[in-house]
Amino acid sequence: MEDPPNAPAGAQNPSHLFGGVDSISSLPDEMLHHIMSFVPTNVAITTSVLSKRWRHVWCKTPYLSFKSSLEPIRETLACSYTAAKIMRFHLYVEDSETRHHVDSLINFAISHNVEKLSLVLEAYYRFPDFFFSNPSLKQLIVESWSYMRPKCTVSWTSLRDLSLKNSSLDESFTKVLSGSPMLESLTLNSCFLSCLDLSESPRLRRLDLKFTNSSSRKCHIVAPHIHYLRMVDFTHKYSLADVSSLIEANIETIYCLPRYWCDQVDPSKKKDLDDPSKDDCQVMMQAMLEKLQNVENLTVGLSFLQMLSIADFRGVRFPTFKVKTLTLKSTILRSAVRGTAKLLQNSPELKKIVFYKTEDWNCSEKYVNRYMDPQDPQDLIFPAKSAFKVAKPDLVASFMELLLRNTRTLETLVLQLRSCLNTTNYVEVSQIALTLSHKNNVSIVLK
Amino acid sequence: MSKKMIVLKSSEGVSFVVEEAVARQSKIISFLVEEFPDRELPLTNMTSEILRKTIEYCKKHVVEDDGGGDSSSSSSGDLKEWDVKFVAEIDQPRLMDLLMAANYLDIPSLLDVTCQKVADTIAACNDEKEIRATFNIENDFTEEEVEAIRMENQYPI
Repeated sequence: MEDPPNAPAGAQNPSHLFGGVDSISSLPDEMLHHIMSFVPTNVAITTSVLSKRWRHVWCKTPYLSFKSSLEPIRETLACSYTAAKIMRFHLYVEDSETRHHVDSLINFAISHNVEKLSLVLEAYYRFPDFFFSNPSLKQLIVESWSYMRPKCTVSWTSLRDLSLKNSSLDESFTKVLSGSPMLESLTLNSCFLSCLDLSESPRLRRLDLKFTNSSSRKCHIVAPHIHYLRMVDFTHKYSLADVSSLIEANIETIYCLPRYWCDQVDPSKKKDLDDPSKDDCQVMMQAMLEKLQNVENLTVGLSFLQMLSIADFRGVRFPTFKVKTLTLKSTILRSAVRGTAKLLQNSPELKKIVFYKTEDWNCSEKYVNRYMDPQDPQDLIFPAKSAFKVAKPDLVASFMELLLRNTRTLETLVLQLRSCLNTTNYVEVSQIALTLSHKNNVSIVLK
Repeated sequence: MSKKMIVLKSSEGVSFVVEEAVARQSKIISFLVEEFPDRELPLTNMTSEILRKTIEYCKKHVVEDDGGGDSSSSSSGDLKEWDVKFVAEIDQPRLMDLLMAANYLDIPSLLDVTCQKVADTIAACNDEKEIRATFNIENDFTEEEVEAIRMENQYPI
């Protein structure tokens, strides 16, 4: 049935109250393509039957995104798609698809000089040789439980941004790196890897690593050119061998590691760990602190602060840090106090602290607290249990004092307490902030 | 501390005084401010209503540079939430105007959020009839023509 302009369905639509003007059809193709970039391509194809104006709009959209039913996609593209260049191609492949169709669609993208290619492959997939040669590719995102182990030469001469998830890598990853001389950013999320040597990638500035515990071997990370490093869920199995150009680091979460370390050094378990060289967590922390000492912009999470607390308790030698801006993404908890204080005391160039209140779930608190000194007056102030919902003004005051007491060079303190700051406590907390601000000559911003 | 202000004039001739940093999120305004400093800028194809909305967006998105500025990922999450609410409150015809304003003034992030909203509206429709009804698109195809297009595009129709 042809749709009359005043169909009942349309009459119910509020837009008819404003004169019923069809303004979307008068947008230029470029804008319609921009809109289509936010929908799966099957929706974009639907628009071809809207009206004559829309008949061929989708055929030239440089943004394609498909999920499943690969065979009809392939035919439709071959029959109707007319753009010379694909800017972004996203493909989600379910288990049941045959390899031949995946090959064919990736080939289609490459033959249209795709710039951004993202692949989510549920099925095991062996990447064909042609996949590794694509001079127009600038960004590649692959999420797949597959081997990314090229046997051929890699030629990704324009690639700037590479992101891999769940891939299994081996020595052949050096081929990927040497074939991507323009690479600036590398993200490895839950990838299996035994070593990572980025010393031959001089343009690589950003490294983002999210680990899994699957590897039993120790993994050395050699990344002398990176300026930015983010590490999530690292363990003592990973070591930063060379990060000598690092200026910004984000060590966010390492969930159970503080608890694991506490178990390791628990004297009641009769483990003889008096020798620090046998305590692998201690060895790792000592090395990591040394590698982080030149970082100017440092972000750490609660579990890293707890690691610092234990490290200090265990007698790890803290270097002098060059950090100027320190961001703490944490809750205010007793186990983090000692590590935070030590970090501040060893940061003589610190100018700014940003505290960002998080809602961490934390399994390590009581384990770490066993090692903290129960005589410490700070223990009476800071809670040993999970997060408070509303910030108690006296607790926030003690926390601010803790930060201010341990640094002499601070100029700005930003507290993002978010939902913990409400109408009932705002006045009191901001009054405290004002008093401390004058007393310490530090600008304090509450958010 | 006084901040440099500029004046933007809508199609109805209403003047809006805006901080320069706020207005500079538009690449066009940024360029015009360089070329014609201390002049009010006429935006003859923007109504006061749409200009007000655009300024509201730019005010929210201006990068604070007063010591409290912080570009952490979490605060960008808050900003995203705000964006979603911002476009949710706008009706269809005005959303189109705002989208065109974002394009005209060259504010990439505003263009993205408005296009995203239009895209979401299209994707939420059950079929082409609903899309036509929502956007007042007149169907100028015959039934046979629609059928022919369907045959051609095997996926997914």
